[in-house]
Amino acid sequence: MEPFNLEKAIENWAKELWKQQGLEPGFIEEIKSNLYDRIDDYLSEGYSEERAFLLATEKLMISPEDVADEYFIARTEGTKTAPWKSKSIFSLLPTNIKIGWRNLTKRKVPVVINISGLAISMAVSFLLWLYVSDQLSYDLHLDDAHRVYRVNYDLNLDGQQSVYSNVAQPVGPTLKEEYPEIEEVVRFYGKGPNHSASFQVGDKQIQSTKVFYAEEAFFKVFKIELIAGSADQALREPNSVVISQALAEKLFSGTDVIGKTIQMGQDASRTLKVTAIIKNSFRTHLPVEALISANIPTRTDKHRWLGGHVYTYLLLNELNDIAGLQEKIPAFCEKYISDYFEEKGGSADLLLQPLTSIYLDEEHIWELYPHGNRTNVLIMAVMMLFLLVIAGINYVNLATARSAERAREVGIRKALGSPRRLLIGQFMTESVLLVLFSGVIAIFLCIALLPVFNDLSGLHLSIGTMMTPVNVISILLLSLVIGLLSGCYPAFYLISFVPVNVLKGRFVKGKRADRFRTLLVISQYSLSSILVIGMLFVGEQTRFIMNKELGYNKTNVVSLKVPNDPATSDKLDVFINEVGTKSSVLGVTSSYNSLSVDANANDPIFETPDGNTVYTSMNRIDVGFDFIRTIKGKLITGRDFERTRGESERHSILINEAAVKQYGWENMATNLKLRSKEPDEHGDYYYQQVIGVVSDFSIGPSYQQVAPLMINLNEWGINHVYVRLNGQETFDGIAQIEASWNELFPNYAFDFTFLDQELNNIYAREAKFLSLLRSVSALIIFITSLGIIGLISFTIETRQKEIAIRKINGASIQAILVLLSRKFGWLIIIANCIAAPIAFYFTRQWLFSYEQRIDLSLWPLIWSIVICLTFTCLALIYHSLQAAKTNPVKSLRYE
Amino acid sequence: MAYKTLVAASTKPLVLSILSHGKSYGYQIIRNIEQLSNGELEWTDAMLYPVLHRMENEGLIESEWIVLENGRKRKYYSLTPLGKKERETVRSQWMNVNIALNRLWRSDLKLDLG
Repeated sequence: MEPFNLEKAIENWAKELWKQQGLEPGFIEEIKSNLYDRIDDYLSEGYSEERAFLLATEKLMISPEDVADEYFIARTEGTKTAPWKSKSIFSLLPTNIKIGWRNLTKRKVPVVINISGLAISMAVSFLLWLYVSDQLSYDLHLDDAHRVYRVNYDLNLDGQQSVYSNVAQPVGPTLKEEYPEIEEVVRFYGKGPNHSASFQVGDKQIQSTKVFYAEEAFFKVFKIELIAGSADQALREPNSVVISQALAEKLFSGTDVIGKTIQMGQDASRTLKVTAIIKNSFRTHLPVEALISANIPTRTDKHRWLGGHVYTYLLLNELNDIAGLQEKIPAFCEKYISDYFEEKGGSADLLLQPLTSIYLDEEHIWELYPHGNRTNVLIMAVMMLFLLVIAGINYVNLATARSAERAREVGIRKALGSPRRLLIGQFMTESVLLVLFSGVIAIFLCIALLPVFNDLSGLHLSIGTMMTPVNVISILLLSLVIGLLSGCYPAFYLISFVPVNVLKGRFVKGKRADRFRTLLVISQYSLSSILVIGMLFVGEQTRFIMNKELGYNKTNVVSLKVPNDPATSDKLDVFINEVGTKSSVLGVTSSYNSLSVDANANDPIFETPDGNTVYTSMNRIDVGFDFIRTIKGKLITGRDFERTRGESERHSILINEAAVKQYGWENMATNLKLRSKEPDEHGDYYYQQVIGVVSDFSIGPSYQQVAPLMINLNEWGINHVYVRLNGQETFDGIAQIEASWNELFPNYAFDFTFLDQELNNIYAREAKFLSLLRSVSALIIFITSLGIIGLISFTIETRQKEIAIRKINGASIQAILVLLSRKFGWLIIIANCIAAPIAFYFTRQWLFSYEQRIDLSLWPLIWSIVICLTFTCLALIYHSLQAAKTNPVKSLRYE
Repeated sequence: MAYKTLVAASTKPLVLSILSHGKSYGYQIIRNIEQLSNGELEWTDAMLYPVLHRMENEGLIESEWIVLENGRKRKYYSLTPLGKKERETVRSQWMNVNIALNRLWRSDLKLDLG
């Protein structure tokens, strides 16, 4: 048996005191000193060392824990319970925050990397969330919006399926009569964004394209907020007009204008009385500036179910049983509509579209305004999540990578008896502290990025509307949640260390942790790769659509909008003829339709040479002479409109190749006749002869295939003049045109655009989305690279000794670079192998929504690998050079 | 055995009074108390040291570490001027209590109980 060693016994006894929280080293020294004094006394009384020790310790204290508690109470004056005994983690929060702050400021570089990544991610995620929630909020502000549905017409005529956003006039009233669950119906029509109405008050004249003619029940269905006037009576009387706040300000410089009059029309021939003012409409698929009361008749003639369409909206009752109503629609169609369409060899169905989803649903024929894009909103939502996930992965990776630094601290604390929950609390506090700090920086970043974001997204947010108290609290709450989630794994990982191994310096980098970290890195690379590949495809498709062959030459063509004034129409012929004589002008023509907007949809009836009647559905444009020549379209067969044939040319029309293919008219195109729908009073039909077939050309956005088209000669209904200039004499040409314009139309400013610019503007939405996508993708790559840089930095640190030994043995910088990059190279390849099929699958789904689309190729995948390799290699080169500069002796001596 | 509350209440005046005789250390104070009370008051370190530290926080006493000849260190306490004043205060308080109790316990006392 080992002889009793007094000093050793005292040290072992003192260790019990060291384990107690609340005893500072000075106290323990003092208690030890007291023990020595007691032992000396017992020794002087003749007791053995062992006995003296036992007696002294018995006298001194019964329980080290009680001593510690007493000391704590004495020190803190009034605190009844030591906080480490408290069940609540909040009691230790101040201490944890202090220690957390100390740890965070110790290693600034990895902390800065983490904070940067988190702050940028949260800021951009928040901005994307604003964009997504803005897009999803259209029409939600209206009371009872969820009970309102638009009635669409799903028509099948001669094998052509088309969905129209408006329906025949009798549909709405008949539905209401038939189904009591329909509380209200409203019908209205408008001329669309290509047609402006003129409003005049005194000297002020304002043009507006957001003008509608609506029935009295409009405000019963659309519960738009009124600033003045009564919703029930606003559209009751004829010649009443409800105007928006903005229009009231422009016309009257105020909104106290109920009862005042406005003159409408270019000749101010119609007088309207203002009966109500509505709040300016934003976030609606139907922005309105003026609503004019209209008594829309309900046709009763045979053809009442087709033609003369109006926009029709229903308000269902409180039960809102849309599914039940939709089930009844086939019976309704069978009862009222089907016979008419069957006669024509077609069919019709009614589709009830929820008001709140119209904006993001695909556009149907005759939609009044461009819609948003649900897929784009989904993409942004996914990118928002990607950003947060990647930032979280970064944090987890960097925190666990630095675990060796914290291992000793954890070992010592566990050896001293610190309970697990306190350690977890400590690390979670550090995690939350770091992420909360990032959240605060994110708020400031949002403010700084606001102008750029507004430009990219098309939103018009101010700091006040963006940083509402709810939004600020949401960002901070999100930070808290991210901090708690991201901090979980590192916290549990760190407290899993066995103290005895750590304190003996036998801490080995956990294989399991290393595997988990590798998995996280692969996830990061994969997410970035999916985005890069997707972004490249979206970019390519957008460029393809924007640069697609239109079937005509859009360059050097000046587009002029003709004044909507009967007084000018007489002079248009003169203008066109005069411009045609100018030296810089290669061609001039007129058109009812704009080439940058869709053509009018029509349902003409043709007769074949053998007398068959063909009911068709095709687009129609009305143009002047020289249209095909001026736009440089191609005549495939037959002839163009000719002035020399005089009045008889009015009976001529052209059709396009798509119409010929669609209806199988290859051998008979120029023998076809267009027939009027109804005979005249003598029972005779009016016919027009197809004189030629032109090559397909696009009108408006070229997302879809070119549809069948008929071209009608109409020199009188002119809205646009197109002038093709000699490309070398553009400026001279414009000057010449302007001179003629000013001479003939002195009251109207000469305002022109170039046709190619007009066409590019219609893709402005796509171009903006592409810019937003590129910016967010670049950001995600940047954040991923931040994480990778941090990891590379850590990898090199842990392999310092190995690098030092290799350098001593003559390894070059390149060799060290290859050594370090091997692992990351494999990770990039694995990640891209995972990312590629996912990216290709979703891209394919997106591309298939376009009739006109690019082919999938491997180039985006190759570029993705190149981008990942590039930023990884740059980081590796930088860190390798740093490692190479370090004196290997220092690394080895430190070890 | 003296009651707990009385022992707790008397700790401060006893320490102040012992230290008024000169500087001393924890174990010595405990021994002095035992001797003065004929063994009735047996203080433990858990009782004394927290009181000493509280009194030090209040500025009534001050401490210093002194290295002994055998190399060990020992913490000595002494009264501050504030402590001396406090000692006089508690002394007069306890004297008042003592006088009242002594009078009560006299066998010839006739008390007006109302």
